[in-house]
Amino acid sequence: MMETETNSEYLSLIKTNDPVAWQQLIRMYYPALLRFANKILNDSAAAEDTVMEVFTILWQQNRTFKEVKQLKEYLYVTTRNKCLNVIRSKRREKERNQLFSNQYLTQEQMDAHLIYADVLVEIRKEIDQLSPKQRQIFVLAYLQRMTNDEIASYLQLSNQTVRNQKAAALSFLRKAIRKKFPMELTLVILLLAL
Amino acid sequence: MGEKRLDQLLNVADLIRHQLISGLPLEDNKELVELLQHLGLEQEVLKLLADRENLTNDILQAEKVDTTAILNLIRDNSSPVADLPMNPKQGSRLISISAYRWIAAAVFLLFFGGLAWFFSQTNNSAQPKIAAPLSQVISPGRNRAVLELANGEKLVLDSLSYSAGQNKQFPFIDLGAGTVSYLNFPVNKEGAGEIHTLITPNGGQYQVILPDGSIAWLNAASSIKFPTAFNELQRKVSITGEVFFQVRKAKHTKTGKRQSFVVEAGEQVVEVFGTSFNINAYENENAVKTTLVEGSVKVRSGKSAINMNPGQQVSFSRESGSFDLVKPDLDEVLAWKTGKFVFKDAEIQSILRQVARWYNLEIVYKDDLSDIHFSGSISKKDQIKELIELLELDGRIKLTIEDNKLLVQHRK
Repeated sequence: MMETETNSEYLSLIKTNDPVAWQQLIRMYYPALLRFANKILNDSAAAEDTVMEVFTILWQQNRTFKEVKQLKEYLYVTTRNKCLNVIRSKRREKERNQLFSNQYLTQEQMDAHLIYADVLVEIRKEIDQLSPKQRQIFVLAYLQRMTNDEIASYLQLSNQTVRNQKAAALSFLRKAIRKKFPMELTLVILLLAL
Repeated sequence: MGEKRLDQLLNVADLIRHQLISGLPLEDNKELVELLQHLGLEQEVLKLLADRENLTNDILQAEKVDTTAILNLIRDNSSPVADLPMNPKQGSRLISISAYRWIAAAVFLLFFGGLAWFFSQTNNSAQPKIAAPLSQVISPGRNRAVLELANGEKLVLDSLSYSAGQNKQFPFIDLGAGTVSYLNFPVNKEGAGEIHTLITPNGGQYQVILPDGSIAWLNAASSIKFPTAFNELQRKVSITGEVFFQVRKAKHTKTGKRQSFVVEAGEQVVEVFGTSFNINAYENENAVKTTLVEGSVKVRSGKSAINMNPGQQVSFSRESGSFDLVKPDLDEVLAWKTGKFVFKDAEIQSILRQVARWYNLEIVYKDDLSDIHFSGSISKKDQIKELIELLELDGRIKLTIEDNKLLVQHRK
């Protein structure tokens, strides 16, 4: 979305350690990288240390990236390499203790987890397009599977407000999309009918 | 990890996101499937994504991340002394996305529909299939209807997508919350107004406040035809399906007569003056059932007529054309209006007809189940799954959903 236009600006903000840009970077990538590392290492404390190390290095290096994709690749590759280093040192330790067993992932499994991590990132980007209230309601309704009534009492809104929030967003968006994507309308109506 | 392979992995992620956003099964995207096969990752990735519970949890987990705390840790790790000054202008430019709002809107819309649907599916990690096609989505009904105007124009009223005042001709009609109102409808010069029809589909319900202030609640797959202004002598509407009426007390006309309220349901006519009653006139039910809650009602068909007292139900047989007066369980009769299914020693066929209308399903009987009765109650907001669980609980029948069909058989 906004990447194409603000690409270089965003990347230079990351380079100069701008806190707002960094918070967004962390929002997007920290959870995904943490999960990725945890799958490789099978050790959540070690995974946390590793991901923190990856971000710290990036912060210190003030690297220049030409596009966001490069930044993304950097994060995944660095995380993976750091994890493999941890495994290697663990293995050495275990070999010394003669307790070595191969409990780690295959190359394919690791790749699959990398894909999964990136899907997570992309989903987070979508969720971040919503207004805070819409996002909250979305999360409660569709991820935590709460009913309108439950959401209403949880957020201390009226049931009607909850519905309105959903409906208002949809109707605004429907107008927006009608202008830009008349071709997509059938699909949209299909989705709205759900 | 080679650069090319990494590139392909990210490409796969992008294709998956695209499928999720549009609510389509991953298998539908040929490019994605081929790429996965080429990478030798088909099974791994499909297995990972099939576990929706996990994906949901991971997204929820991600929502909880405290970015400020993590940022502070990174800073502390890096340099305890030097901190770069914050530039608020740059920051605000970054998060201002107004120029891209429509893109966001489009993506959100597709995402909301697609992903919302994706997550509202029950978790079924055992099945390799990622997402069912659209036609298999079965959800409970909601407030929705079609309003047909005198000129044939049709307005779609839907709690999910409709906002009040959308219609330019009659901006005041729709009150939202599943109600249309004709209380302030402008009376045209001829007096009696144009005829409008409110129609609910399977899986819909709606209510209309009639020009005199009487209220009609429509159950699923029902309709009511009414004038936008009643005439002096008679308030006349006709219905199909099931409608509950709360009729305003009659005014005395200039000639001293009381303005009656008349409901036509096929051959049966109900005449009232001020009362609450329910008419169930579904064509696939064998009788038209009129249940009186309060007030008094006269039910007619052809030459025969019968007067009812509160708490009574008149059952008009379509076959014999005769009336039958019984005392029904009011909770059961009126349950639909209060958002519940209530069954008291009800035949399975009668239960499933209601289920079919509310969840928009076709019922297919694989065995003869005519002697099976059930008692129980469940919210109409529940997913079909829970209703199925309830009906299967005592082990007599087995229910299976296949596409838009509900297959019913004896449990062997």
